[in-house]
Amino acid sequence: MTALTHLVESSAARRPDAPAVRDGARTVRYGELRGAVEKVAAHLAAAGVGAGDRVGLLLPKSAEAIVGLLGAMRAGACYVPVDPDAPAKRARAILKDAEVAALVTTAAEIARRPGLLDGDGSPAPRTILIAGDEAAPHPDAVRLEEILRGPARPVPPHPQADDLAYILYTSGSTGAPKGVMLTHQNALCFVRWAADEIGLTGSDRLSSHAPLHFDLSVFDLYAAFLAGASLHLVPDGLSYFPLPLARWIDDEAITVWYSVPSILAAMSDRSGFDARPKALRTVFFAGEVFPIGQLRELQRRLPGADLINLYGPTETNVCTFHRVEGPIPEGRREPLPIGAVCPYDEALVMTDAGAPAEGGEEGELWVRGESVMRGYWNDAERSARSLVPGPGGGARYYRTGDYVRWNGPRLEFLGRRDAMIKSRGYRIELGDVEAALFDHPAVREAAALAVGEGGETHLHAAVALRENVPATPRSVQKHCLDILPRYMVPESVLILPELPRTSTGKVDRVSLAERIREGARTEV
Amino acid sequence: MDIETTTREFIEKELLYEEEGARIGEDESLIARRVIDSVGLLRLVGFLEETYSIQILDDDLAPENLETLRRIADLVRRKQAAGAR
Repeated sequence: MTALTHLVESSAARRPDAPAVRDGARTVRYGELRGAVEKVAAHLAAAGVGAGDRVGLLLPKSAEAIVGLLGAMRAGACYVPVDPDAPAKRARAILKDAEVAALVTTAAEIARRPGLLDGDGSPAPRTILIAGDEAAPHPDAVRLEEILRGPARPVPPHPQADDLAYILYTSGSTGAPKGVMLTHQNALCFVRWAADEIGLTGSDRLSSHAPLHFDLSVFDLYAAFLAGASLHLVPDGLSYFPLPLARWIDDEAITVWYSVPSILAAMSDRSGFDARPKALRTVFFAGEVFPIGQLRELQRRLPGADLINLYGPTETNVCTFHRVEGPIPEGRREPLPIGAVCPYDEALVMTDAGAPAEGGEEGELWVRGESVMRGYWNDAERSARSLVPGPGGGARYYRTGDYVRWNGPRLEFLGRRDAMIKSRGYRIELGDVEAALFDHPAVREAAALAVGEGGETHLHAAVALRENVPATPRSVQKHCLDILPRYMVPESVLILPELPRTSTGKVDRVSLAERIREGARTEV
Repeated sequence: MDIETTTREFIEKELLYEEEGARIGEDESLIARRVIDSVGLLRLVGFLEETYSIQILDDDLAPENLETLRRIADLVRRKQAAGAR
């Protein structure tokens, strides 16, 4: 098996009647899924969409969206998932940048974004597939349901291991979207390893929490399809309701869950896991640092479940992992290590002086290996800056921009290169400040922010509090003073009911910094 | 003004990121209309608590109580009735 599309095919051959995707009350079985994917692929091929093309996806996650993306790959193209919550301008910019040859969407998504399909000079999609019940709103559009009701037709050959499987657009710290190109092999090496690491079988039931444009979805989908397990789509919007979400995990008898830490913390913090989800055996988390106190609480509420931290920027897929071993001691403040390097990759810690780190020296993490992206779509210059030759030659390394150090065979995460600020000559790591904020008993969510004001960088914080635990900006600052050197205490603490998050569930630092800057202006 | 109208006006003015004049039906999903996200939910709950002097608990935070205008109004009426007793 060399392509992601082989996974569905081989599971369909082994167990055609096993459930593949659960979407609300609807179950799609492996045999059906394979048939649907082949029909979509045949439709795309007939419209001239195939190897070397991109297929855009702009719709909420659903069984149809999954048929659409598998169909795109089965036709030889790669898929480009666009956040359905993205503003019209961003969605259009991504579809235009990727020059999509086909689009899978819904009538509502098109109606919500007037002008979405105006190409501004770039070629229009050759075919548009409309999921859902509404009528096709466009002369070039075909309802997905019609394609699925139609006869089976000859299907093009499977893609090759080195063909692009998908392009994920991420926002760098600057906010401009960049397309990360990943191949079938990039995804497969990780998925095979992860499934093996937890002994995944056809009787497992995996959650699908992350949106399709977030790389956490890669594990959910393809590990499930590799094992012939069932993939359970978290109902739209349920993520915002921690208690019902925790009940859903139990009701669906989920065995393997994967999400950002904040969702897990929200469930365990609001006593969502008072009744432990009975089937849950493995919990993966990634995307952000798990505040250690919250992780200890989760461990207490999910005894017997394996807790595993996965690490890796979209560009490398998952490249290191750490399994939580033994109870986390009370009072511990250091975060988990990001752990050991996954067997398909190699890591190098590069010091600021440009030499490989010795012993526990700090440096930037460089990664190369099977899971590392091919480059950025349409951006050779950025690709060349990010993928660099190593000291001994050979394959290029991806520069993660993360500061780490070795501790024996394990890597410890120290912070983002761009989260490292200098204040009065001191180097401040925002993660250390956040760890101190989280240590305050009233703090539920926290972010430390370096905010540029008139050419200088200042340290600020934003926090959200637990219900019924009083705190003031001063009391939070005072707590930091007890733990941190004076130069690391935030100049101001903004208390909000909830920290804003991006569509991938991470704290939205750009909008927080903006609010702090605005606040500073209005105070003057 | 009744609860439905007052809440509808708040949502359309403050939480609906669509074109000017967009309207929300009584049984339309606020999740599908992208009104409810992590921040939107908190602002909605804050508005209801303040406007109707009720307390919405963690246990009440569920789509059954908050997904549509009709469900929200029912929740507020239940809370008001329980408070008056």
